[in-house]
Amino acid sequence: MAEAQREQWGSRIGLILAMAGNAVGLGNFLRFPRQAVENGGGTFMIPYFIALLLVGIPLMWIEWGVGRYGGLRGHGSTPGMFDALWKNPISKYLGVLGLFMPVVVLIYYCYIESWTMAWTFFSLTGQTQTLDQPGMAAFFRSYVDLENGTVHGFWLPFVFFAITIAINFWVVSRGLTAGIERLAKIGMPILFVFAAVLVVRVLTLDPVTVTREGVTTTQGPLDGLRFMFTPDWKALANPRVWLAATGQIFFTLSVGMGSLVAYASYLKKKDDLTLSGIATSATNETAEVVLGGSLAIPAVVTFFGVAGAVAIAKGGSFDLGFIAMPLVFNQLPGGPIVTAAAGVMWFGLLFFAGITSSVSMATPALAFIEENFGWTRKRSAWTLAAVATLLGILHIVFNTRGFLDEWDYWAGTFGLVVLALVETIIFVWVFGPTNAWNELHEGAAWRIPRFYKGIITFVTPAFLIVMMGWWTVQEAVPTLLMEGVPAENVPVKWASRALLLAILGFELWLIRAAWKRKAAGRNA
Amino acid sequence: MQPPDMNALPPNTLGTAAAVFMALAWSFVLGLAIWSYRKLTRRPGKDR
Repeated sequence: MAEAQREQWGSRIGLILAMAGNAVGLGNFLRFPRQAVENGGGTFMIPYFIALLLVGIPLMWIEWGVGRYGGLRGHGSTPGMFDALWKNPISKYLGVLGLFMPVVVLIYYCYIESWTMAWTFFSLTGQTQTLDQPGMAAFFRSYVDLENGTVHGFWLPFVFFAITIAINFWVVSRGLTAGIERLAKIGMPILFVFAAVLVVRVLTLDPVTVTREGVTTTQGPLDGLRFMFTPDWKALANPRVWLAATGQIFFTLSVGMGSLVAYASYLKKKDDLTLSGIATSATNETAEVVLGGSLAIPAVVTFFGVAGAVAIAKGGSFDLGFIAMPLVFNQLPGGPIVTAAAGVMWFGLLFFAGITSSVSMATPALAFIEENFGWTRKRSAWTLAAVATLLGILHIVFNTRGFLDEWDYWAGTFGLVVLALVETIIFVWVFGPTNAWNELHEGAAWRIPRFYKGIITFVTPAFLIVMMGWWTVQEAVPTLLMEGVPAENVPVKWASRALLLAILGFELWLIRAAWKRKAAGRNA
Repeated sequence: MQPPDMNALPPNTLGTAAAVFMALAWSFVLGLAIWSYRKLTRRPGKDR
């Protein structure tokens, strides 16, 4: 397909907001603060920023470069992009990762996104305002665990999930500029305004005296920031901290997912990549470090003390977001209206963070179907919506049986490093370091310092190889062997894996069919 | 990680080490954002 036939971004700010919206997700506000306090506090920022400079931003440039190169040749997803960069029969099949992972993550991500919509509704209607800590925990568990659904109706999670899917696919069915770009232009400012208002409110809270397990302490939001940013120098000697920081950079920038390359495929030949890539990364980092770092931990420390915050953080990021934060809002001065407003802003910003990411995950598969099988955007969008709804139901039903965890680990964690490594090798090593460097500077508004050519060629792939090796030994093998999995969950986990393999196999078959179709077209 | 000794300072105090790290982290990301956006918006005639 020629360049003129493909959609293009309507404006530079729309493009950057959409790219940043892709990157800014739930993890910026829930995962980052927890990672920071668990991995050295202030010292976590040192490996974190080093990883940003050596892995995050280079990968951002690589993805923009791969995407634009493929897009100019009519490819909006990695099978075609890799085939354009590397004329080898295997390259298109390696690109299956860039179709598989965003589709798989999209499905369970929409389910989690639907929680934020549900909690926005609960906040607005005041349903969580009278709950104490055990009550709030039961309220949350009842929603996410249908087997123990004692508080909510069985049907409620399905309704919010269906609404979330419908909104997501209505946006993507409208196309790039009228759907995705418009959502980013509306959603991202709302997200930043909501987050900024909440940060100001949290940081101006008065100190609170709390008695926990017989110990009375008084603390305020600055103690939360102290808890988060006080350096623990011993942590720097721990390789686990460095890998946690690199992992966080991966998740937060959404690199290795296949969605950034899809967005970049709609760039023009002379569009800037270098500065736009940095602006996108910086927008995401501002949302994460400045806003995400100033919300959950300072608020929770103020009302629960450091010991309470540690106990909550151990329960996971969702406990922090969906149990602790509503309890914080219940204790804000100003009464029910302030509580409701804070809840709507918190879950509203999480919803916008989620949806601006999930629409990007739908883009590679839709582009692949449209470009290779001639389907319209609407037809492909609503077909994928139907598939996502059906498979999402399995997540709702089997959530606490580890169904979602399998998908999250193989597609949403380990797979990211694999795809990032594959695309780095193809773009930098196979396509060639000089070709890659020149491609990045086509239309560039700023020249990347020369030493970055060495970083992109050697340091970034080395980081990725070490990370993949570490994760394989530390996590992938035990996960594969289902170590520590309760016996009653094993069949569900196997079913979850079988479904993953079926999706992968189907997408490989689609790639084969698409290339056969192309060959038949050429011969005709 | 061992939490810092929260009794070492009066309640609701940031502390020097945390303040320095926070200031550096915020300056880095905000500086990067401001620099990149300023440079992008000053680029003549490229926006659509």
